[in-house]
Amino acid sequence: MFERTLESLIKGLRSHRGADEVAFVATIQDEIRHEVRSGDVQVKAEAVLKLTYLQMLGYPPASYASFPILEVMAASQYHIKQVGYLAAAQTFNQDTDVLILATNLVKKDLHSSNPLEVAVAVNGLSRIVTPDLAQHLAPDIIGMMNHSKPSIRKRTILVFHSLIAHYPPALDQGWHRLQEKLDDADPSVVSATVNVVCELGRRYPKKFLALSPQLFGLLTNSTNNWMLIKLVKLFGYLSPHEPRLVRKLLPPIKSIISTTPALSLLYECINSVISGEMLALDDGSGSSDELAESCVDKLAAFLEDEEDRNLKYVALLSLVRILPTHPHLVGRYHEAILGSMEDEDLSIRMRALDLAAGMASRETLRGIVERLMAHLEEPDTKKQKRGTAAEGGAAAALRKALSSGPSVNGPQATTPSSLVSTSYRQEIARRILLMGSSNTYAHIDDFEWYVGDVLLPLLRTQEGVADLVRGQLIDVTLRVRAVRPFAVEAMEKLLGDASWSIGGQGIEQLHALAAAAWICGEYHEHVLNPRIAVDLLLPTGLLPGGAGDGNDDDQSDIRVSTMSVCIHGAVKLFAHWAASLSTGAGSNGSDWDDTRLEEVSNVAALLSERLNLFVDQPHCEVAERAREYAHLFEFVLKDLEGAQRAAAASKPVGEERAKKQAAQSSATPLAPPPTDESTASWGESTALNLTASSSSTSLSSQPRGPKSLHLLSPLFTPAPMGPVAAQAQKKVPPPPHLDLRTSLGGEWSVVMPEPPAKKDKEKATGAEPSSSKLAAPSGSKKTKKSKRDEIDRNISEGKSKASSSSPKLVDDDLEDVPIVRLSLSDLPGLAESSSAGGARNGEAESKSDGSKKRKGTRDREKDLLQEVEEMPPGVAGPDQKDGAASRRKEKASSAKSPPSAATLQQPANGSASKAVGVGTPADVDRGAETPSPTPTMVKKKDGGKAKKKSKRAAAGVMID
Amino acid sequence: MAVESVVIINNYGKARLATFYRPISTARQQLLIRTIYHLVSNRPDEGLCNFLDAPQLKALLQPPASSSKASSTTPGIDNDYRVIYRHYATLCFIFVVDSAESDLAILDLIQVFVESLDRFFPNVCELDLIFHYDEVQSILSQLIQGGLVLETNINEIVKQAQAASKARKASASSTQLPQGAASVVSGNGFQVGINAATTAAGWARDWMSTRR
Repeated sequence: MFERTLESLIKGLRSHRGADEVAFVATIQDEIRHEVRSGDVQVKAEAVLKLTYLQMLGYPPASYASFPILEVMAASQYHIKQVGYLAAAQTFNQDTDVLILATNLVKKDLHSSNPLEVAVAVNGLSRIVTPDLAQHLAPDIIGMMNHSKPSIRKRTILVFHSLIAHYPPALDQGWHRLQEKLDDADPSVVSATVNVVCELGRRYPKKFLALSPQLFGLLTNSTNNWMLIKLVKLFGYLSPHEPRLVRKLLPPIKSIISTTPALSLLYECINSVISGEMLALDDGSGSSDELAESCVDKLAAFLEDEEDRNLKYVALLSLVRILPTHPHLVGRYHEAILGSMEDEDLSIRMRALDLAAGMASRETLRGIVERLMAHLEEPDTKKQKRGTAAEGGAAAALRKALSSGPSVNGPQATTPSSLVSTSYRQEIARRILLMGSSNTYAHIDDFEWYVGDVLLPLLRTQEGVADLVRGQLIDVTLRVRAVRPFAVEAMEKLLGDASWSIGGQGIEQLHALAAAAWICGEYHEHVLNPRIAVDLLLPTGLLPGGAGDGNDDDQSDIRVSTMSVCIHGAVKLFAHWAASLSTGAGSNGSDWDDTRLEEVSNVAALLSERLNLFVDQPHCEVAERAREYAHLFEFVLKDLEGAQRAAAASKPVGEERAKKQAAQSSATPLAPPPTDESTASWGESTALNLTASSSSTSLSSQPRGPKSLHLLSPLFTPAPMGPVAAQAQKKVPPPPHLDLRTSLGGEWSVVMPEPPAKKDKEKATGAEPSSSKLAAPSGSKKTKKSKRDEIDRNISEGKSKASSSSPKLVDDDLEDVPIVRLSLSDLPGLAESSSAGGARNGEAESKSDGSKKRKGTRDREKDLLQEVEEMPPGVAGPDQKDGAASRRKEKASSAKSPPSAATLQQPANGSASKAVGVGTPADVDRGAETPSPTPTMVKKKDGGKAKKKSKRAAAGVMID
Repeated sequence: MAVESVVIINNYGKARLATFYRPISTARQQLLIRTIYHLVSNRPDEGLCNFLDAPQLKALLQPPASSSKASSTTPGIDNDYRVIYRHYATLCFIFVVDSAESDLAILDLIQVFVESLDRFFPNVCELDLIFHYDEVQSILSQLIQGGLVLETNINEIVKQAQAASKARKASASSTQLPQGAASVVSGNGFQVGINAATTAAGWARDWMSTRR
């Protein structure tokens, strides 16, 4: 038999507070499990009621309970049935399977002779309705809208709305009935109908315009404020869809605004005037301006109402809505609004924040942001700080402390720190950043202030916005030339600040490091102390494996992106530093001498050591970057070592000789940049470099020191990155030989009928030209095929951006390109290699899945390593060296190119290391270093380069 | 859905009534209740507005992604949810509504609800709500149905609720019950230390008179 009623359950709960509760509930639930199986419907109903009560307390009913609830609903006694419907309403959801069985049960109750039962059924139905139920019961409900009892008519009309929400066709079925009910004899039925029409009118405004005349009649004749509010709201939804309605509505609404004593109705009228775009009506009489002014004035009166805080709150809500169209009117109350930001009430502060953010302009932004920054400061520093903002907050808190006295709610409400909760601070920080960046930073006139006094403090003190700050730091530095020296200096300082362990385990630190790495790498010429910065940019702490790492996906994603940016930034900084040392164009301006040599060697050794730490990272983006650079550094180190030895040997002979010797030890061009200058001789390319980087210096233009100092710098373009308008992209013409519109389908019919074996071969070979041709201009590509790999490789930084550089102009077109298999004979440049291609393709196919591709890359790295090892350091002649270096570069480039292409290019053995020119390192690097948040930025030089490259690639010429 | 949910909690965060007109999981219901309680209890009773606005509420109030609302015509303001609460003695009445409801009118609606309770249970206090969970649900169902406001006239609400209550008692006593189980509990001598001296309706009516 059953143990207890709901009442004794509640008593039990009251005597088992705290930790006991869970155990007590468990025993209750056990009892209920038995009780719901009882044959006595009374017991069952009580058990179900207890379940419902427990659900409210946070103990969801087990699935076994659904069917008993249905049984209780089906009981004949009213008091039991009613419990069943209540339980169903509180615990069922759309997925409750037993609802399928409820259709006939509910239908029977709807037609019950007892109006109370009908009411219970309708009320329950409004909560448990599913598309199935709605469809089956719609005819009954529509019929019942004419029920003889007003209380049932009301309920039926409301439940009709629930049906439509799950089964929209019901609206058409019941449309006429609904329309009739607007003229019902019972005012509360009319009110309910208006309620439903208001809800539906919001969703289907066009359809409900047809009812406007009737609704308008109600608006002018009714005195029921509840209904008038709904009507006014409804017209606010409708009028944007029918301009003529506005003219008609304005007189009655104006009269309500000026006469009604009910503030809620007044407020809704103002709201509807705003949201219904009624202020846009221009009839030449200026009456809409007048109306706007009176609306804003009324709202301002609300705002200044010290008695009713609710009015202040809703006034702020509405002012936000009117702000976009009438900023000058709102501007009149500037002070009151800013004052509300200091309000003791968090709700009011939130809305004032909204409004202030909208009001920011070039003149006001700084003041608003500084006020907000003051909010973010720690409470204790805040008290010491002078200034209206801090005083306002403290004064408000003090006032409150005095007025409220001892409060049951605890003392925390009286201290300012609780007024500024964590999430509120985050919200403020986010608003500041949004305000700053709105309209491409249009409101900011002093960027040094924005970077130094807003972004950096936010980065250091505010949690949860580091990703935004990181993006903006890079964005601002990139867009604003004048702020670059300042930003670089600031980032350098941040790097060197031991008190804030940048690059530590926190998300904020990771973001900060990534921003620093990008900025210092890109604007290396402003870095004051590159030697130290290089070290700091690649801290060992960046490696994962520290405490608490690995579980947090979010953080490990950020870590990966930070690692790859840092690797790149550090190498880039080193490359330019080394080159500038050699040419004497460095920021320190001192001449090259042997002490420098040692310095460079040390840094290079350090960097090489660090890079090797990252080589084994599981993320291929990080590992590949590290590996590529680590190999290049091996090379640099060897050269530097040689130079050091030579210098030591020749010390007695004199400095000049040493330099000459050093120069001779690597006399021939090293690693020509894979650009057009690649064939240029050493002298020429240096001259180019010098004109690019140091034409203004009066120092010797003769590069000195080991040539390997110049090995890395050509990997990075000297052209500074600058903002480019989105439309500018369209002005870059596609390369003349890249005709994406030409149908390639001619070979289709030839390819298809071939025997399967041959077809596969064609398919494999076909992929090579097509990928090189289509993907060529971008370097790092976005054909559908390689996209997945692309994403895989670049969880991080800006390859998305890379693809926005030149690919942008191709990208749209690519969507239209029919995917067609190519025959090699289409491409004369590849014709002679097609036989070799066939042999390779067997291998390529066997590596067709993603993991194997990656493995292929690894193999290639191994080959490469072998090659390097095979090369005796001292013995290798200059020619060999050069050949190896350039070959290695080619490999580096192919490693960067889309895997599909890379795999196919994979030579069967190390000898045929020729890569089709799918992107050069410079191109790919550029993409890799660019920040993701600024997709409209491209290197200015890109267009031209891409053209050249794609030209070459399109013609199918092997770059060698 | 205009009214998303109606919740009554006491000063210690215990739920006395929780009705969610959009089906959401029990866990999320509890999280919302706890968050609201945390925010409300940190606000002094006087001098603040009755709207609860905090960044951490936003995410909780968003409807599930699959909601039919997704196709709503105007995003942004239209999908704004508002948490409106009023304190009465030891209880806090909380309504979560969307922008189809008037913010100020909901304040009046809470008042109507409380006054109806006060009429139904003369001099209503927290104990009435604790031990008459089903009655309170029944009164609420006279006020709001499926998230839409059904009736705002207190007399009508009380009349209907009393009729339903009478029918329930009649139905219960007509069946032979063991120990009168499902009958409505009459306040039989609980001496619990909750002081509900202030009746809700008292100062509430003052508020009403200033407004209308």
